[in-house]
Amino acid sequence: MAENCNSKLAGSFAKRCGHKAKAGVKEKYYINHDDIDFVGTQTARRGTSVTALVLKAGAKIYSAESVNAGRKVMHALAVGDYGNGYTHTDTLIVTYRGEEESERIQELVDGGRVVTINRMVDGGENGETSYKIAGLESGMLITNDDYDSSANNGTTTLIVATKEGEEEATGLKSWSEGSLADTETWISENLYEPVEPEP
Amino acid sequence: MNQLSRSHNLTGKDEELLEIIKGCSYETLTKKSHTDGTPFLKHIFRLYPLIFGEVCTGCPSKIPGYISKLKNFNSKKMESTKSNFQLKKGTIIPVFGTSKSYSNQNLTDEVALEFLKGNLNRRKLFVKVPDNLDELLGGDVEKGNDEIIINEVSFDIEAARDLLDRIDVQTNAKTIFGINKVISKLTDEQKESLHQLVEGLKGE
Repeated sequence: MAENCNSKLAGSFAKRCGHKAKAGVKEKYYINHDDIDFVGTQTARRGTSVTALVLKAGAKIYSAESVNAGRKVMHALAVGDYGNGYTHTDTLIVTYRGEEESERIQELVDGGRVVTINRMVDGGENGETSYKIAGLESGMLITNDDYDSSANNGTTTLIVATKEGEEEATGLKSWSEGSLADTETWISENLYEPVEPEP
Repeated sequence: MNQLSRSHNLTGKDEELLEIIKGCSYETLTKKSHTDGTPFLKHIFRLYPLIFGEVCTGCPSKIPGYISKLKNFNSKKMESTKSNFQLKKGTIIPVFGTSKSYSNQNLTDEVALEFLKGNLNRRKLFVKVPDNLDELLGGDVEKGNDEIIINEVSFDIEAARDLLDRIDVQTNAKTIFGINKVISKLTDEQKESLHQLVEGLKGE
């Protein structure tokens, strides 16, 4: 639902003295696009911010762990004849391609549509931009599963991205459940934890 | 139908301003400023979402409708019919597949209950729910998590948090799943203390 159909600028790009922009993603989580309760999920600021992320009953988010440089997220504006949109692209370097990891990748190859939550190194002046969500509106599909035994230290590069024609209305969306602590609590409460096999 | 109101978002000054707006002509409201120097239109764009949930500041064709709705809005009448449910400020519930949506202005008890029955995770969108919500929801609800059970005794979130507090375990967890997760991560010593505490309660 469009919150505002005004297409005029309504403010300035203010100088943020003392703030230095930083690159990098500290943490990453995958969510199945179908597991998001879009009736309950709330956005604001023309859809650029998520103020309440609601999952369907029993749904969980899945951590995507990697080395420091192995997590990446980006967006690019796609200018179209019938409206502009954004392509979101999320990259994960899988350093251990075991049985579990191979199965997860195959789930994506078989059509899994995902959204990612990213904890950014640059959290903004007050931590308000700490979390960014990619692919919330349309979900992202796998575009790359690249493995070469003699390159990149034998790691796998996994990329999911917005499908052509399904561009998002906004760039990566900032996400806050009210405060940084509330957002972190949300993550901890909704994080999937594998069941340890009985000894 | 029991209607909810957003009028609680209005300050005393806003209420006064609303009365002034009601007494002004359409031309005055669209072309002139209030005595505080602010154009009436700016006040309208600020007051309207406080009461009705959303506004389009770039849609000139909608301005007559906004003015008309504000002029007809009776905050006192709305307050007298407050419901037991209250959404967080700015929360909009779309009805998927239709152009309809609910905010505090038009939310009814029935709609709120149906909304929560669809997914209990939506509870966090409310700042106020009836005390007997569980009873109202009955068993007909999509629960994401199970109960909090310690030593075969069932606890609600508050009680479980209190128990954890009494064994010096602080947590921000606000859901059943979160509390269960905290409990599952307790050390053996903490688990023992918790069990003893619950056993003590059983004896009381």
